[in-house]
Amino acid sequence: MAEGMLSGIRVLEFGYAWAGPLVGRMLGDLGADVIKIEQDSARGGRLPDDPMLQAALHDWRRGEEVEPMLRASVFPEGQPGSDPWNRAGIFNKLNRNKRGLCADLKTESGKRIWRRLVEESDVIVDNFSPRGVKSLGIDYETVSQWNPRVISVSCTGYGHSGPFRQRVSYGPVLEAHSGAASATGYAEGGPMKMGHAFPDPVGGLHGTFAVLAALWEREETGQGCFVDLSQLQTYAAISGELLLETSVQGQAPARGNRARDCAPQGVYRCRDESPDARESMDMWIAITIEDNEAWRRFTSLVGDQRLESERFATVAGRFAEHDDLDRIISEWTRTQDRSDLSERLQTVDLTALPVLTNGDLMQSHHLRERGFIVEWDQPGVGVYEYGGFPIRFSDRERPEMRPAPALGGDNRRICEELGFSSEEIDRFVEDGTLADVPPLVGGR
Amino acid sequence: MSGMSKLRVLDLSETVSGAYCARLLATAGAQVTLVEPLDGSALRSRPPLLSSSEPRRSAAFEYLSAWKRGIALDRGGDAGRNALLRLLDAADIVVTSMLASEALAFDEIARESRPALIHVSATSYGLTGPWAGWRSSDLTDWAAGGYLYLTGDPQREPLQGAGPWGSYVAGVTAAVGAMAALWSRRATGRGQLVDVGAMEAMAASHQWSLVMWSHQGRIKHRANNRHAEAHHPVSLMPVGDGWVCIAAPTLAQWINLCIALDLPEMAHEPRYATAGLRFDAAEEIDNRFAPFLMARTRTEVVEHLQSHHVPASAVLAMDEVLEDEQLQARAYWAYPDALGESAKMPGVPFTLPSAPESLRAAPELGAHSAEVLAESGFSESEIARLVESGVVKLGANDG
Repeated sequence: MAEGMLSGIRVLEFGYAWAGPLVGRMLGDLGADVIKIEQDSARGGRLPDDPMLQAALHDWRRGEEVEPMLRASVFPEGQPGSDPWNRAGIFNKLNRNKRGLCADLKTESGKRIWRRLVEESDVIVDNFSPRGVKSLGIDYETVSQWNPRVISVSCTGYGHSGPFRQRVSYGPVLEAHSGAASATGYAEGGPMKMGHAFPDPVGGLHGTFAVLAALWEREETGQGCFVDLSQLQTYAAISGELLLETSVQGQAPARGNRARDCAPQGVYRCRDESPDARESMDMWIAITIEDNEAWRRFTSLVGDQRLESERFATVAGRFAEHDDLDRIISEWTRTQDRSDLSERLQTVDLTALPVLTNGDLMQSHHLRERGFIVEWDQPGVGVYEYGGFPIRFSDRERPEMRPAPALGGDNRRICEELGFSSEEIDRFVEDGTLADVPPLVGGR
Repeated sequence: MSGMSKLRVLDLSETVSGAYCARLLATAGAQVTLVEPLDGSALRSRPPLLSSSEPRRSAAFEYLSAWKRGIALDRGGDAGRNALLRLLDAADIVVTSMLASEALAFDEIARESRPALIHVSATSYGLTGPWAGWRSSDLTDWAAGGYLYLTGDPQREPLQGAGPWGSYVAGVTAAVGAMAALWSRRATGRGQLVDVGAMEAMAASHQWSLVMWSHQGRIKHRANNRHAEAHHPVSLMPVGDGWVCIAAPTLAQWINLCIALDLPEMAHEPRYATAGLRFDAAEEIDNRFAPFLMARTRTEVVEHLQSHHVPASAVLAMDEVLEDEQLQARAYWAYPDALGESAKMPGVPFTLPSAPESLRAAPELGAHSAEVLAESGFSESEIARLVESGVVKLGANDG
């Protein structure tokens, strides 16, 4: 294995959902030894044999509707298989380059394992609630007694202090609380959430930076620390200028797709075509005309007399008639292929881009040439493509992609490394501290 | 050489992504110097512009440049270029946002006698690949990262987020890259070029849509204020006096929600048994929830649901966020007095032991020119010569 940039750093990750696991993934991609610690129920329960489920799977074909109960997991070809907890695409994409320990930290054996892990580690990352952190015994007060060099980064929704510290949240809840949802929307409509739980990656990336900055500081001080990272705060941080504007101007910015300082800007419908997926896909292009020079280049390319009117010659004029402009531009784009059109516009230095779908991203020549699209052979799943690592280092190979761990997949190895004997490890399995399958659930 | 406060960063960027990368480094304790052209960074004219001052100041610049010192330097001529190279001699990290060809040429020159220099480039498409030379805007960044297509009404045009958030994601990704490169340098002694593009940074920030394509060949569509296509409710919903977000993706949360809304019979109805089934029945579920929700205020609904362990929040307007008791209690805000009595903005996003204690407001143009040059070994007469020849501008209170 190639030496990673963070080789020698050990991270214990208690990640749930997205933000916490993303911190672990970023650090793992960078070469840290990331151990994901899970309870046996972390990936859901084991389903009993269910005839309805089997029948639904039997009928499933690629590109067609997936039975609703299976959607959230994104199984390969929609097939959960006999160990669905190890096959969910949404889990495996987020947990590559980690090792897996499935342990009940609350048993006597679990406490022993936990203490040894803390003594041997540099970083602990969680995104549980403050209550969850305390009840699991992974709080900084406890762990810093065992290892004063340990850095604990707790990525909660609201933070460990303040009147809302016990509130529970997911990304979209923080979109609402941060003002972002109310600032987003169609000009004449209400608030709008993002298509994904955007505060999660924003929080997870900030959490990754927090880990690296705290590690760098530790090089100087020799001391670990606790970082109380509130995802509400990291999400509001990306609206810094909008919040500052509101505080001074007394009113929030207008919603919609338009720019503040230039016109026209919009998202225009293009000619639809049948994509590879067996479902309809609407095609759009995003266009920004930054100044009068760009406007002249644009009008000569479009060749529509109506656009050459004097009333459109200035930014103010184009703002005043933006609705009309949008209509005329849409008539033109509606007959064009979005990719060809983007190329033509970019060739004459105009800012335009196809509105890319998930399928477009995975097939993008640009992302492929940059090495962003990666693949790995996930045991029991096979070789599939995934989104890769978003940073290019000139002095480093691209990170190696090691598959996500099976539940408890590295239990024995990790316990051996911690110095436990083979007999002791057998006992941990017998007393239920270590597991590698989820508990059976009664029904669904 | 270790320790955040010993890190010296030159910020040559004039975009949100580069500026946010450098701001994060500054809020973690690094010494960051903004190097601007003599007529000021392009960020100084970036909207939103504030009416509290004349000429109007950019809220983006004031926010993104906090905790930085500033020097105004004409890098066009030989004297300016040489001065910049001498500033680079004393820097660990330089942040740029140049066009691809320009960035690569700069990297070559800067690295020539500075093998330990870390050069962080934050752009829209990155420095390589077929789109490296393409033009971008905040809107096309949304399009490139795949988020635009996913947001908004499926019957209408895709919708951008309210801010240049793709650039912010690129900025924090670049800050991660800068720190990783420092670790690497510790082992190798070598710096390197760290190339981050907003398109990739956003593509890496998708929830399940990329595996939805590679594992199942399916396109992810817009779903208005719902969380397509696997969960419900994870959505914005109207209540008596506005909107709330309710997020109950797990079975336990769904049951708690039904009980909280006084509809316990819904909790175990087979047609709502799984998250995906609930998404398919979203319209019906919302109609059944509506009487309870519409009869109550945002505050009542949120406190009630939170007491049942159901994740929920009011949809707050920006001015309400500024008064939010949680953010207030956690001393989140910084107060840039020069922008007006009511001016406040997010301060340090999270507190590290190395974080600065009080706000250093964004620098006036050239405010620290002489100070920064002196620290980098320029003599008084050299500084005077640079000022006289118009290569360096001093701020009003400098020198």
